[in-house]
Formats: sequence, C-alpha cells, structure tokens
Amino acid sequence: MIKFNQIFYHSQRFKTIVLTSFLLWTGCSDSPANQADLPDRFPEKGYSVDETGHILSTEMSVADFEPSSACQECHPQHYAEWQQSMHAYAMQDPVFFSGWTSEQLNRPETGERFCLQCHNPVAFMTGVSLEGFGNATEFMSSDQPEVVKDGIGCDICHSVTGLSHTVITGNSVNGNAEYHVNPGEGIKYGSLETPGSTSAHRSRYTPIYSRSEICLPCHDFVIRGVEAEITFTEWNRIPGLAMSGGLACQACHMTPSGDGHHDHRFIGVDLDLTQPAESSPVFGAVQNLLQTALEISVGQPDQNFPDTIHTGEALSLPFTVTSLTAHSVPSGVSFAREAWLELTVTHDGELLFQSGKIETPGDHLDTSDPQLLLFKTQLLDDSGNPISGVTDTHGIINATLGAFSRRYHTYAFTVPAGINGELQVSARMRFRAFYPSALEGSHEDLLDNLPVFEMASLTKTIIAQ
Amino acid sequence: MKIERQLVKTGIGIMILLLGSGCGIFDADSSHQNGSFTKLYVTLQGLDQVAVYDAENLGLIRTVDTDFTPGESVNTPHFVIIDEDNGFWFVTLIASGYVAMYDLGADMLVDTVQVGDSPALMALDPLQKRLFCSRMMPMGGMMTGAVSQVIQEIDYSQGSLQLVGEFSVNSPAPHGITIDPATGVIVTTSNTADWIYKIDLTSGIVTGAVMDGQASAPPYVEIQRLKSIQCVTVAPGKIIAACSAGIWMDPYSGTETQIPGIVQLWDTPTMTSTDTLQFNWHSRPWHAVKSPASDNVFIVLSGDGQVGSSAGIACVRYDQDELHLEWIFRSPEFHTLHGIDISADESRVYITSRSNGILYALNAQTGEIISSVWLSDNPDMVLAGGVAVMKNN
Repeated sequence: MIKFNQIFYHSQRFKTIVLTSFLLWTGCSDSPANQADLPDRFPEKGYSVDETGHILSTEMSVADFEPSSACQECHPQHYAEWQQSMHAYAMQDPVFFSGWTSEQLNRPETGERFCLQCHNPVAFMTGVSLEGFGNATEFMSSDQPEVVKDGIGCDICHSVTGLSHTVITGNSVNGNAEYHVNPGEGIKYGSLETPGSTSAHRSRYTPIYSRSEICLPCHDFVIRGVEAEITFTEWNRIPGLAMSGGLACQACHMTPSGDGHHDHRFIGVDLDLTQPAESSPVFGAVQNLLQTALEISVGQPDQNFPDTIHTGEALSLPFTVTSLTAHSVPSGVSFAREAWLELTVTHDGELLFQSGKIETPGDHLDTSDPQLLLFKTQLLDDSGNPISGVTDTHGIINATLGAFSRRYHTYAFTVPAGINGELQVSARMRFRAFYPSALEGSHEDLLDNLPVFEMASLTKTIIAQ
Repeated sequence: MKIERQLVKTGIGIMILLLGSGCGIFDADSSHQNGSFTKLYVTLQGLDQVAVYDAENLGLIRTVDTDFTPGESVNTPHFVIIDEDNGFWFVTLIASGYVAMYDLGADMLVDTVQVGDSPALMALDPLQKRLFCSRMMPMGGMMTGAVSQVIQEIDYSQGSLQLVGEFSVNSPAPHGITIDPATGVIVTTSNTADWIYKIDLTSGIVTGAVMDGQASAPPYVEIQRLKSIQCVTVAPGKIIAACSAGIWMDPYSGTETQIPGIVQLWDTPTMTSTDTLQFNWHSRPWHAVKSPASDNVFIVLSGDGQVGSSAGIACVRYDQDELHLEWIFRSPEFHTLHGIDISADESRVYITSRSNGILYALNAQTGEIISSVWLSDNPDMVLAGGVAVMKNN
C-alpha cells in the first residue's frame, strides 16, 4: 500500500509543537516573531492506492473538484487559453484513447489506472472507474461528471499544495502518481503573491507554482528503470538550474503576457491533429516556441566551413546545432517525435547532395542514410529490439540533443567534376511531434494533419573552382 | 522515521528557544556578543530569505529578508560566506544580480552592490577586506549573464561594498572559486568548459589549464563533461576541484556516456593536476569545504534524482600531494544535496538538502546524521542553497 500523507502527518506534529511554542512565546515577548515570518504549511487531502493503482482509501470525492467551466465567468481569458491546451485535450485525444485501450487489453489489472494517473487525476485520486470507453466521442457524450471530462482541468493544478516526484513503476506498470492537493475547501492556490479578493473562493499564494516540480508527477516517468519520459529530470540534471530553480518550466511554457497573466495554453509541441494544423489556434505559438529551441551554425571548433572547393574533390560541410532549451530536444514522448537536419546542396538548380529530405509531412525519413542527423529516442524490448509502446520498454537509446548542449555534424560528398561557380547550401532543422509510423494504420486521418515545423535554417554559398 | 523523531525533537527545541527568547532569557543579538550562539546561515532561495540558526541545536534564531526587488521575480539568495574577523556576512542573489553585506551581530543589512550576470559563489580575503564573486552557469542564452567570463573583486574595507575590479578568464561560467592567500592567487573553474584558471592578484595575469585529460577542448568550447562546481584551497599552492560530471553526450557522435564525478588535486604554481579521486556518475560531487582543524576536505555528493541513495557526503584527506578517500556516507533521506560547511572543531558537518528543504547536522567522523530540521513549515518552497557556520563564535 502506498500512502502519500505520512510526511505531512509528521510535519503536522512538528507544526503543532511550533505553534504552541509560538503562542506561549508571543505572550511574554514584545519583539517581532521570527517564526511567524515562515508561511503556514498548507493542508492536503490524502489517498492511498494498491499495487494495481486502484484506490484503497481517499479523502476526496469528485464533488470536491470544480469543473473548469466554473472558472470561466471570472477568468475568461485563462479559461479560453486552457481550452486550447493539451491539458484540456487529455481526454479527447484519439491517440491517447487508442493507447489507453491497448494498455487495458494488455494489462487488465493496471492499464486503466496507469494512463489515468496523469490524463485524469480526478478519476485517479477519487477512484472513479472509466473502463469501457473506447474513444473520445463515447467518453465526452457519457454522463461522467464534467470535471472528469475536463481531463486536466483548472482545479487539479490550483488545488496543489505540495510538490511531488517522478512516476516510477516496474514490471506491473501500475499507476502510483503522488499528488498533494487540497480540493473542496473553497481555496484556490496559485502564484500571485497578492491575489485579489473574490466571493467565489479564497486565494492562497504559494511559491511552488513557480517551481519546475509543480509539473510533477506527470512530466517525468521511469519504467523498469528506463528513463522513458523524463523532461523534468533533463532539466534537473543541469547544475545551474537544479540548484537555483532557474529557468523553470513556466518560463517557456507559461510565459507572462503584457497584463501579467501567465499563458494557460501550456504551449509545447503538440496540437489537436483532428483538425488541419494551420487552423489550430496554437499553431503559431508552437511554431514560435520551436524557433527558440535551438540554432544551427556552420563550422565547428576544429573545422571551418569552406568558402571554396575544387571541382571533383571531396567536400566537407561542418555544422553545429546548439540547444537553447532547458531539456532535451525532443523531450517528453521523444520516442514518438523526430527532429532532424535537412541539407541540400545545389548548383544552378541541380541537386548535388541532400540528406533528411521529405516531400510531404507524412513521408518517412530515410533512416538508412548514414549522414542523416536525427534527434529522437528509440525504445527497446527485453531483447534489445526496437519497439514503439512505452509500457513495454526494457531499454532506450537516447539520440536526442541534450539540454543546452551542442552537436557537431559533418556532411561529406564529392563535387562532380566540371561543376564550377556557386554552390547553394541550404540547411534547416525540422520537427514533427509524431514519426509517421506512430500514426499509420489506426490514425491515418491524423497523419494528414501532421505539421512539420521549421526550427532554424541557414543558407551558405561555396564557390566551386 | 528519523525525520519524524527529529521533527519532534526540533519542535521541542524551538519551543524552548522561543520561550527563552520571548521572555528575554537569551536574546539573539546580545547572545552573539556574549558568545551564546554559534550562528549558522542558510540561503532559502525559494523564499528570498536567509535563515539564521543556532548551530548547536538547529534552533531558528531569525530569518533575514533578501527581497531587494519587491514585486518582481525572486532574488534567489544562493551562496553565503562569513567574515568573522570583520563582523560581516555576505550573500549572492542570482536572479537579481546583487551581492549583499550584513552585520554579523544583528544580521542587519549594511550594503548591497549590483554586480549583474548571475553572481554565484564567493571567496574572501579578510585581511584586505576583499570579496571575489564567481558566476552561475550559462542558461542557454535565456538568462542574464549567460556568457559571463568575469570574476569580480569587491572591496568592503570602508564598511560598504565597492566593485573595484574584474578579472576575465577565457571560459564561460567560472563558477568554482577559492582564494589562496599564501600564493596570492584566486583559482576558478569553468562549469561548462572544464578549464581551471589561476588569477595572480598582484599582476592580474590569468593562467588557464584543461581539467579533463579525456576530452580537452579550447577554453571557449562548452564541452560540459566534468562540470566543475567548487574548488577549495587545501594548502599553499594546492587546491581541490569537485566536478559533478554525470550523463554526457558526445557532441560529435551523439553517444550518451556516464561520466564519473571526480575530485581533482591541483598544484597551482605549475597548474598541473597531481591526483584524482573518482566517484560513480550519480554521486555528483558538489560543494566542498576544508576542515579548519585538519587536512580533511568534506564534499557533498548531490546525487541523481533517478538513483536512490545516491546523495551523500565524502570525506577526503589531503596528504603528501595525494588525496585519500576516508569515507562516504549516503542516505535515502538525502535529496539533491547542495551546500556544506563544517564546525571549527571538525565535530559537525552541516549540509542542505535542496529537494526536501532540510538542514542536516552530520557527525564529521562518520557522516551519520546527528540532527536535522525543516527549513520552513513548507519545505517545498525552500530550495535550500548555501550554508555557512561561524568558526570563532
């Protein structure tokens, strides 16, 4: 049995003693109370789950959580932004439903709970069963409470009173996410130091909303010791960030607007692929974010980019890719994503060399190309063979671009004899949230809407003599 | 369970302290003057505060506000250092770019100076009343100071902070810093380039050397393989450098490698490394402190969040130009250990646990936990940073 409120209990005993002391102390002191400068520990409601992830006991009910629509009247902009977010999409995503269904078939005891621990924290913590829903349409038209249909709604995050940890599971693939929340008490917690008063709820400031750890437990996941989806850990392993809390997730994914409010679209790299990408209200924001993620340049510390080349000779083109991102690129479900360098070299419009070229967004990359620079991870089964299902993984090959790191990559080819004049070199870093095989078959319709983003680009001219 | 017991003990300790304090039995300010307290300072980065504790019983004396930019983002007090000879303590504020000076007796703010560029660690010369300030690691061009290569010199001889000089090294993020008064040099290590620099304070001449014998690179290349955190002077002309290392990706092949954390011994007159102790990749040697009572150096092992019981403390003895590992103590209680300091008599080592907001007092002979205290009622908010304890009381 896993209980998540033991430390809290111990701290409560501590608090009781300190508060008692404080009261006695203030009775015979006329000096400021230093202890009172420390914030009161926020309460939480506990729950415990068994080894399959099912609720054994809980102090929460669904009614403790308010649906996101309840926030709309006073927070219309926040609500509108949340509606565009992947948090709101958590229980509407057809890719999630197919994966969830598969998991329930493969692991009947644990599959339903395992995925819900992050896609539906309210159902997970209150023990509401969502077995039997095969697709988003069925689920959204069901009589499930609105807050359950919300997926990851306002009240989940704004009930958080304590930080959590990575989701770690073994061969059982059970749900065991640890949330520290205090719903149902009419208190909303957040990052505003001096929140305005409202009759709708009480408001409490807590600095944890500025911490990367607030994105746990969901954005860090280890299975069978395999670091499968470890966005938080990638950030946490950067010395300067881990120890100072610098450049937290919110800095890029919840940027403050001109009026000071934080963007609740939680812009990342995913879109609702049930509609054409360009029609997505967050398409431009995703594009903009990706264009700040890295940069490409020519040359390397020990190799300059050539200005001239003798025709018929081998041409070596050194590039540097520099990450500007506080986690790996790609991150999250990096085993489903692809970021790659596309290079073309032409002479008078004639193609001399290319790598990483695709014609349409759904085309496969030529992974047999030895010169292809592709950033992703590859999941492995227990025999070391490539697989696609994260819950079946026993190993992983990490071929991502590390946080704030560089990658040096050199292309080489021979310029055909007789070529003279300008060679046009064009390089661009491209990205797609799914590699085509992840959507082929069951989600061909989504593949049609899959965008390929351009993260960075450059052109150079080389004179062939 | 140890934490639970300690909480209760600490609570009782605080009760006694508060009752005594409130009734004037012992006042915090006067007690320093009469020598009752050995004060210990801990930076609470997430709360913009420095907490002052009684090092003996880990009872809270007071908290000191370091919010110099009200209404704006946090200041992030990171590293604290004490000059007992002159009666001051100093703190760096990463996010707002200040160095602040406080009176050691009353813990009152004396002065601040804006140094910009994410100030990180400090070394001080109490004779000359000079402070030397290093830099935080670059953050991908997304924060101020991301490319700073500067060590700043701050004068406090007039009772205020004056920025009087700068030394530029050829690598970004000179983070680790120590002063060697006997040879008149400052030594700094680049966290991202894996280079070490000696700065002659008389001539201003800067001499650099590659720290990593396995993968040397030009000083401006952020190879990020060893990731040096701190350096400490252990004898005239001898310093050790703690390097966190960890998981590293070869920038040419993209291959992921686990690089062991190391502690190097350097001979600064020749700028050569004479000995190295190797830890495993998830130990992550972080801050270090030399005992004032022996040739022992204590190094906090930050640990890796994905590897249980990887955090701990190591005792290393410097002897005859060699480093000897005396012991390592690890505990599942530790989570991302950060700061470290030691008592004057080498009986206790104090460390901070960043992830769970706890200050520990350890037995300096074994590393075992003597006592611990939550750094706040809400330890999630703390982000514990540096720690410094008075030596002369």
